[in-house]
Amino acid sequence: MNPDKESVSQETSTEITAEEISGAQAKAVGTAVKTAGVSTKTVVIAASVAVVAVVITAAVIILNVLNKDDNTIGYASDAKVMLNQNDLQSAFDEALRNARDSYVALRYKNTAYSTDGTHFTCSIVNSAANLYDMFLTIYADEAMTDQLFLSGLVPPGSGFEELTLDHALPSGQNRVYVVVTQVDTNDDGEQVIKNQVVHTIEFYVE
Amino acid sequence: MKIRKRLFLTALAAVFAGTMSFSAFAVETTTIEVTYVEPTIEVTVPQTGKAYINPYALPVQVSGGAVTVAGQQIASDPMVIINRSEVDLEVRVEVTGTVTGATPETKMLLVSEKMDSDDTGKKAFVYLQMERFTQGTDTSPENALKNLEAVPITYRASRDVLVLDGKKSTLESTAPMATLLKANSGTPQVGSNAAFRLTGFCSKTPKIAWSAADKITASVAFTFSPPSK
Repeated sequence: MNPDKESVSQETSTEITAEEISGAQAKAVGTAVKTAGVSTKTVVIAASVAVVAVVITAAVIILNVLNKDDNTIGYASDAKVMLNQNDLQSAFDEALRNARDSYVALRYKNTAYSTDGTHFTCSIVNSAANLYDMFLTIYADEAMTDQLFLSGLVPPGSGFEELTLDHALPSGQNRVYVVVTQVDTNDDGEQVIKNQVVHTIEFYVE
Repeated sequence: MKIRKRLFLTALAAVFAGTMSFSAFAVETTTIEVTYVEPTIEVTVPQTGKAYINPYALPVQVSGGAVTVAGQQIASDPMVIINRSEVDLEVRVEVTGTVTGATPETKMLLVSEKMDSDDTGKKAFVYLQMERFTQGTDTSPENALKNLEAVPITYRASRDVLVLDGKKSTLESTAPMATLLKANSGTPQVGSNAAFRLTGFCSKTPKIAWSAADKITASVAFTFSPPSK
């Protein structure tokens, strides 16, 4: 158990963010040319440099997330510590038993809320009674083809109070399927999936 | 004039006194803000369990050899879910089956009702059964099996969830499969746990013989919720 592990990289949604930034910068170039009356060549060069810098930065971040050589999973930067050290310590024996018997401890609230269908308040925690880091995959359908969210690694005791989905859910009650996957690192330093379980949560959109 | 002035001042004083008295006797309303605190669900669920196709219903050692199951053509590890929440929880499941075989032509068919004893098709009638613990809180395979002893292996449409190939199944009714009692400060009491298993029937001597390549995988998605009533 490594409760002291910290996020080591940005989340994997950076790739989408980079494209958005590039689009915004392109718009800014056009606007600056029209209204500022400054040398268009200077503005274009400055904007191009800015875009290139952003793209290079995004590429570096993406490479770090996917890892240097072998596509390991990075830690989720938006996961928060939600359980204190006493909780972690007292649950350690249970965590050992669960690991031995291939059980997964779940800790969450059964509902999440949003006003726009994308940003949700929720509570999903990697229980202190787990020995392993976990990551979440959330699907909109029971066939698990419509992915809504993929997290980075979350150590025991940490979790999510907010989520931003890849695409919006419609208004009303939506049952989503949360796949909890436990990850361990073997002696060779490779990440391996240990256990995986599925539960549902109701995502409400106003 | 002086008298009028005095009367006026007296009246004014009386008004002020009355106002202050009203203020002194003004009712302070007590405001109680009520907010709903949603309970946190804390449960432990098994990752996997093995199931065995056992046409002759021979005794089968399951759970890594810890216990022996006899008399079941479909036998599985007895598995346990544990409620550590501070609230009772209703448990519902969605089960999706996947069948694999040596070839698509030789793999079994998962059916939705028990086949005739003389049916020579390669079929299996499989369902998930769940029962809340009535004996002890020990989550070992031995105790899980003990808590399943009273559950008949015959299919109960109102209690058991079918396993079908490539399709999601739930209980026919909206009733939960089990209601787990709340834990006491995180420690399960009798009734906080439930055992579940896969069981059922299969063709004894199909024309296409059973082989080690024949497998059923049942993926279970759990829904836990406080009782609606």
